[in-house]
Amino acid sequence: MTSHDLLILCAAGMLVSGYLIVGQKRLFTTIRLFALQSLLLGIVAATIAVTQSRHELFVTAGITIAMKSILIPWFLMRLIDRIGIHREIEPFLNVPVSLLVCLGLTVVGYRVSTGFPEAVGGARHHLIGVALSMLLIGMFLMVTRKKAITQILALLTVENAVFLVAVGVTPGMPLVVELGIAFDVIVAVLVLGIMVQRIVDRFDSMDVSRLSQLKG
Amino acid sequence: MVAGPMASGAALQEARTVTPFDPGSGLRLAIALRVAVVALTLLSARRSSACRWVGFAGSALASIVTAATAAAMLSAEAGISSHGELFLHRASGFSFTYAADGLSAWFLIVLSTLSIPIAIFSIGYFAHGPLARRTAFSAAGFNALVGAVELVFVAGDAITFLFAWELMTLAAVALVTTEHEEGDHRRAAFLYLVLSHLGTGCLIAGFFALASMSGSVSFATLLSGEVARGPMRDGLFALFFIGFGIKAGIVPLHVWLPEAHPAAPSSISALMSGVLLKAGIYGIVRVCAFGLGTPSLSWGVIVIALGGLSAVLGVLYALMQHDIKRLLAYHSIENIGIILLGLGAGMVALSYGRGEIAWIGVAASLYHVLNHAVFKGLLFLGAGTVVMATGTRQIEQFGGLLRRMPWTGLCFLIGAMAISALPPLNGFASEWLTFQAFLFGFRESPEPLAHFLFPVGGAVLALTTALAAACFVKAFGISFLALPRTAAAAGAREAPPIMLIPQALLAALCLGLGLFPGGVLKALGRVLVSLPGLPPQADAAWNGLGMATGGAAFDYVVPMVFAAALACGIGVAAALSARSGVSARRAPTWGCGGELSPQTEYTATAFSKPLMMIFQAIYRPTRRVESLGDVSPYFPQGVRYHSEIEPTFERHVYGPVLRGVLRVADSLKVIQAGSLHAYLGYVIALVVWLMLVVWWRA
Repeated sequence: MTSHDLLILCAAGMLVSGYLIVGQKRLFTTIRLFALQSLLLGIVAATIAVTQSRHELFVTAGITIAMKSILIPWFLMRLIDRIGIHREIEPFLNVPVSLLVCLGLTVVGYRVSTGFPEAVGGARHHLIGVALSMLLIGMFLMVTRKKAITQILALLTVENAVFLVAVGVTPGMPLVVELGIAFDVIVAVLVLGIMVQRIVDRFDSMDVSRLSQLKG
Repeated sequence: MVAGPMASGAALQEARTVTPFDPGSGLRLAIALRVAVVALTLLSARRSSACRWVGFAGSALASIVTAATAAAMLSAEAGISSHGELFLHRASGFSFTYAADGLSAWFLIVLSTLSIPIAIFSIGYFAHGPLARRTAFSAAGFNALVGAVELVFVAGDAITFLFAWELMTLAAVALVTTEHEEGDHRRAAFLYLVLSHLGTGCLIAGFFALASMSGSVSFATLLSGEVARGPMRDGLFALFFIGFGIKAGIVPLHVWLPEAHPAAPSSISALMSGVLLKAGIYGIVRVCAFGLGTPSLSWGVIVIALGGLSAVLGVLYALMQHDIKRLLAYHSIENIGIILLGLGAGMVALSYGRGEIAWIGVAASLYHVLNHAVFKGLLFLGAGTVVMATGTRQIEQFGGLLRRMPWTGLCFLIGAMAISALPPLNGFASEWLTFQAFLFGFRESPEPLAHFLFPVGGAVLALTTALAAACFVKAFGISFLALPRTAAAAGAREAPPIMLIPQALLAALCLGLGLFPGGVLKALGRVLVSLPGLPPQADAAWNGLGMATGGAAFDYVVPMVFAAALACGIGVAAALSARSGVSARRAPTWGCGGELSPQTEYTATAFSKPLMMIFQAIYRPTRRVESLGDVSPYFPQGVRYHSEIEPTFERHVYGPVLRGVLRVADSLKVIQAGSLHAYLGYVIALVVWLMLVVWWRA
């Protein structure tokens, strides 16, 4: 198996994990799927680091795996344990319809990805296609999920998609920026976690659709 | 700024390099002074008295600098127009430019003439009562307001103008809310804010349309009169006329004015009525009349029609007001109407190509701009003094104030006579000139429309003037004569000198501007040179003390002669009564057998009742008489009389508009659901849509 195949495999794996998140109803499994997705992102980064001799990407890979596939999932699981909420996801749309919509979004993402000049050769095409599709799927997840936790996951999915493009297609970001982004993500998750707790405190639920009661 | 065909560019350019005087430095100095004064005022906010002196005396000083600059511009031989940068931000290349010409100088003089006495008055006015706590706020706002109006008058490009315009609006709104505890005041400020921004929106649209057609934002290009053509020009005229008209308070757009002017502290009301409205007039003169090319006939007709409507309705509604500041506010609408009548006559004459008649009309309107600022400022200051002394604005609760506040009363009387256009005061001079514009327009124009329009305009003006006189007989008589109606009026005290001196100053100006119209018209001659299409004036006609609009003998007026005749008459009467040796015999007034008390006095409502009956069709009054009795209405303990006139514009024009806007807003609520998911849904819908666009383009 060449490195090219490995890249495509990992990217496909990320997309599949995105679909699984859409289809999954249990909260803990969703978080584990997200951890898997982040792990695959880390592998993509490491693979590129090896094949293109861009050793700074090892740091990226390390940060990604440590943070997104270990630290953040752990934190989110602890959060769920602590606030003791119902561990099922309540989507607005049922699973089959959601999957169909995501299929459409993937078609749009892939079709648009062919418009990029970077996307002519092999693996990169798939990386951009997967990234755009995941971006749309992440947004879709945000719209259709009621729980605040699942919205954090959706946001992180979007972030993964952006990172995939940044690692796989661009000549690479400076290390400072990468560290900054990693830090941003962790802070965002912390802040959102706190917000979730506040929402639960206030409403005895973390159903964000109840926030509309706040409007005057 | 040099605009239009009158600008013989090369000659003026040369003149500018020769003249050593630079108005820019004067303007910069004035602005720097104001900024410093605002800073010092806010720093000394804790110490009310220091703050008052710094804020208002500093403002007066800055206004003196402005006035000196403007006067120097008008007296400079050729260098009457000047332009340059007031402020330059090097990094972005953004600059505020000024372009001062005769018209700017004239309005600056009008502004300073009023803002100096008002500033002095305010030093005394803000010392008392609940306003003392808001001294720093008011003084800073006052400085910001005056500075913004100055900037409006000298702005050299659309961006500077709009910036200053917005600053002016916001400062004025802030000042209206000075006493924000009262719901009325907050509502007035809100109404003012909303309508002003409607106007500003029109102005932004108009200026940007001009800028996109000409590729420049400088007024020299925008208002050269060669940018827009055909129907576009009419559209721009409408936009600008609405935009400036809201600020000026022209009748269908006036509803904010009677609410906002009384709500502000009296000295601020004086500034708003005297000068802030004139910013609208400035815009109309600068852009609508002379900035879009030769005005077309329909524009002039519109200006005359709306001017006439404003004049008549303004004074009619003023007659029915019993709140003295509201009454004065409605009179501002009337006077704006008179100013527009003169300007409209000038525009019609311009469209016929009759420059010399246009000269009279435009000169009359600019003259009235100054006069109205002076006498309306005086009246508002007088009203403020009275309100401070009695604690109420209702003239039904005044009475007998002349004995208690003789100097205020005298100044108010002079202002009231000036606004009623009695010779030899200043209101007479400009209104007479406006009449002349109509009469000459009628005589000299061969066109049938003019034969119809000009006499009607003149008649409207005559009606307005007579009604204004009636209204001020009421305002002065009920407030100052007879017996005090309430304890508050009985206990009124004369104001301190620092509040009387500015009023005396303005009263003297009323007299001076009326006695020496020739001098004013000479200055106006220099002003009007900067406007395209107007011929240089015939100097001979304006010499000395009189005014003559043409060669004929009947149109020559020397107010000094009126004054001399008046003085002689009074002198002869005094001499005769002194010689006859009959001393005045004091006896009680016959009261038809009843007892005479303040309650039997003629009230303001009663005084205006006959006019209410005559103009019933306009007022559509409703009245209710209730007998209050314990046993039976045939044995009343008291009678309650309630009379009200229909607020036509509020109810029948703005009511439906408001309801429509609210309905649209209600239907827009559907997308503002307050649901997080809906908002996220909008985002994803937008992203997908953009991606699809990219797809189709690819």
